[in-house]
Amino acid sequence: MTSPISGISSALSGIQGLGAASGLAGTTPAAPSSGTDFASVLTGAVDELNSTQATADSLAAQAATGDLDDVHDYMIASAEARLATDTVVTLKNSAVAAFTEIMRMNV
Amino acid sequence: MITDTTMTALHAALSGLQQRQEVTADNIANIDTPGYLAGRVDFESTLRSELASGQSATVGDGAVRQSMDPTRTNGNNVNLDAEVTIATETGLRYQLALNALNGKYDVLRSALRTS
Amino acid sequence: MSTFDSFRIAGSGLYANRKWMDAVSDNITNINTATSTDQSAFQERMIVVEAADYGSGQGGVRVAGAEFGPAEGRLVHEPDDPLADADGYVRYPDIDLGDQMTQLIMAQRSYQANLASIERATDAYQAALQLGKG
Repeated sequence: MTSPISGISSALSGIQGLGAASGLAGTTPAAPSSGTDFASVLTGAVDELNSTQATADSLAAQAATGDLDDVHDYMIASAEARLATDTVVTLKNSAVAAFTEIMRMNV
Repeated sequence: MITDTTMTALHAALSGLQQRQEVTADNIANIDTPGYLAGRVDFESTLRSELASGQSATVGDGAVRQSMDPTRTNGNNVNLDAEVTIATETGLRYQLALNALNGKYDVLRSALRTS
Repeated sequence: MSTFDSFRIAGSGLYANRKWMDAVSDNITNINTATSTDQSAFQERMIVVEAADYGSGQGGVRVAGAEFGPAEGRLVHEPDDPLADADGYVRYPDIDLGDQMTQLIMAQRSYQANLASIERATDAYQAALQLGKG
């Protein structure tokens, strides 16, 4: 289920490659401080998404069989999974929008 | 691609809980019937073993067996207090399973957003 | 520990209180049941409850059995009663109506308290099911 989203990481390296090739060679690009560039933020969000979804899934299975000890455990895990998904999707959409914007530039 | 084992398990739980609601209503209706033994639905053990072995859960009716609680003089063993608490608990567990299934669908839907 | 254990525990309380009320109403109904002196009197029935697996965390109450009151009863001089013996005595149960009424009120209030416990648990769980809804 996460396959549409995990492909974004490879698309992002494509975006970075495009930026380097499209005429910015004359300027020295500012070196991004490690760990806070967009690609690492996005991959971090995807990892968090995977782990929260796995937690929510196992708690949902426990809820189905009646073995769940606390209802709020599942509700919290489910809310976290939903928020993590929204985060990744918003990041992906921003990346795609930025890419489209760049492509529309007249150079 | 859309349905995973968790969703099938939740679907199976919803069917089992629905059946339990019906059997409980049947028990309450028959509280004075001579010789009537209360019915009990068990879908959890099947579901638990299917999930543990990694199989996909079967959606359908669970096993209904007669309760072996002690009977009163007319052969009826329906205990109203037990049935009321079972009905309340089943209603809440049904809501929980619905919430869980909705949560899964919400996650899928938000992943498909493009703006 | 299942998901919604409060219901099972309160349900066991409901059952025990109902058994108590049954015993008390039985005692009240038979408060004037006379028996002849060569038989035992109607004995007051008291139920014995115990905590289910005390300390294990399982929770709940269990009706462990019944105890019976004194068999001698009260000897009352009623020579016209068909059950009277040669001296004109019959046995009446040794049951105090005031005590039984008090117990009936206590059993009823306990039953209502357990019902309130179920209601509160339902409210709490339903609120928990709304967690995280936008």
